[in-house]
Amino acid sequence: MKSQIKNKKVTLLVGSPRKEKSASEALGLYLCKHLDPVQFIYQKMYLRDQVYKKDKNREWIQNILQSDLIILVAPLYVDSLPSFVIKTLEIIHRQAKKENHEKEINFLAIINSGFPESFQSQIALDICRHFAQKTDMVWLGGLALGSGMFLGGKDIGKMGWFVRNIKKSLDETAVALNQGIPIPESAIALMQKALFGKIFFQWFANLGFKQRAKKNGLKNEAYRRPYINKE
Amino acid sequence: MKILLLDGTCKDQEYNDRLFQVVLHRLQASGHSLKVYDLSQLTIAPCLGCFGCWFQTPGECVIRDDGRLIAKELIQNDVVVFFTPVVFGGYSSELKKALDRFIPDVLPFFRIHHNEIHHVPRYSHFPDLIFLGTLTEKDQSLEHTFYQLTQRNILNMCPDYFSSTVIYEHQTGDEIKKHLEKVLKEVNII
Repeated sequence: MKSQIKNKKVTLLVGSPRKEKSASEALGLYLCKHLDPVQFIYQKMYLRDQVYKKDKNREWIQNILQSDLIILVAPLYVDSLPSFVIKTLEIIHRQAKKENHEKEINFLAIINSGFPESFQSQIALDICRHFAQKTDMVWLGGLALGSGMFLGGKDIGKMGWFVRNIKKSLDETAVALNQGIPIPESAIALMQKALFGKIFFQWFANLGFKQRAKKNGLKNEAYRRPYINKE
Repeated sequence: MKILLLDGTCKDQEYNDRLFQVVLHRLQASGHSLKVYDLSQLTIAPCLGCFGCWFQTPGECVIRDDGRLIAKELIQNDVVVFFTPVVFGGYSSELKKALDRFIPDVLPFFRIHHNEIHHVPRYSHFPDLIFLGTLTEKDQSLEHTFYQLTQRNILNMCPDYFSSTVIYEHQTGDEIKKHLEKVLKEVNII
């Protein structure tokens, strides 16, 4: 795979509507901050803000297409990427083809899901891979994280033992990017390591949801079915 | 039987129009009640990821737009047909913006289903599903991803019957209709 990064512009695409409060941003920023600052300068874009902007010239798309490296970080929505992330990929692809874009762009993706099993994000990563290939970008690989909701928008660098495998994975990924090579298998495997077992996750998450429902004054209302017997 | 057809064609995918018309006519000929939405004409904001549909207005999205209508229609029909160009192996952004607003139709709580963690369905029954992807030409890799995506959706939506297939720009109307016969039989429409 041809993957040597020769220039230095990195664009971090945050694909979570929760923006700075999101696990997506936390993961992306940690990675960007661990890139070699001599080689790389990074910028961040919130896709939900950009994609619906009335910008006929699509300057933000031109900006993305000037990147040497694109890092997409997004949550898993209904087994795939959020709609506005797909729309972004559609627009980038269309613009790149229209311009017969020749600049070499490296692309990697990180998907975090609310489910504990990281494999549930594999289809979203496959979609990113297809996008990169169809847009003539260099696919550097993808990382999939389960139980991402427990990161929230916290600074991963300040979190402890609980996120050790996430940090190691992103550190290894940063080293690879600094060397201009694809994400190593070891980094992919570290990110895939479950933060929780299934049984504990189910119990713990459901307990949290029940407490949140109670806090909002909901008991049986949490189970309401508004679309039954209505036209 | 009530059938809902969601058209996820994007503006720049003109080849889809002919394929869509063939599908539409075949479904109309089935004699069942058919409701059709052109998703590009609906106002559906992207999901905010706020969990308001679980903890503020349970079962309904906090955004008052056509996304609520689609979430309701997904529950109140017997069969839902998702018609979409295959975009990088997945659904178009037009179809996905509607699907992302499906979250109110599940509960926040988790269960183990097929040895995986999934949300508990809010409703005891979900419509049968047909996933109809379109491509300009055969592409095994994209089709494989599309098929796998539909399989994962099935695990979350839990229909009794479903069918997933891809039709192509070069196919004639008769070829597509023949292709559709098998699909419609799989979900007991014919």
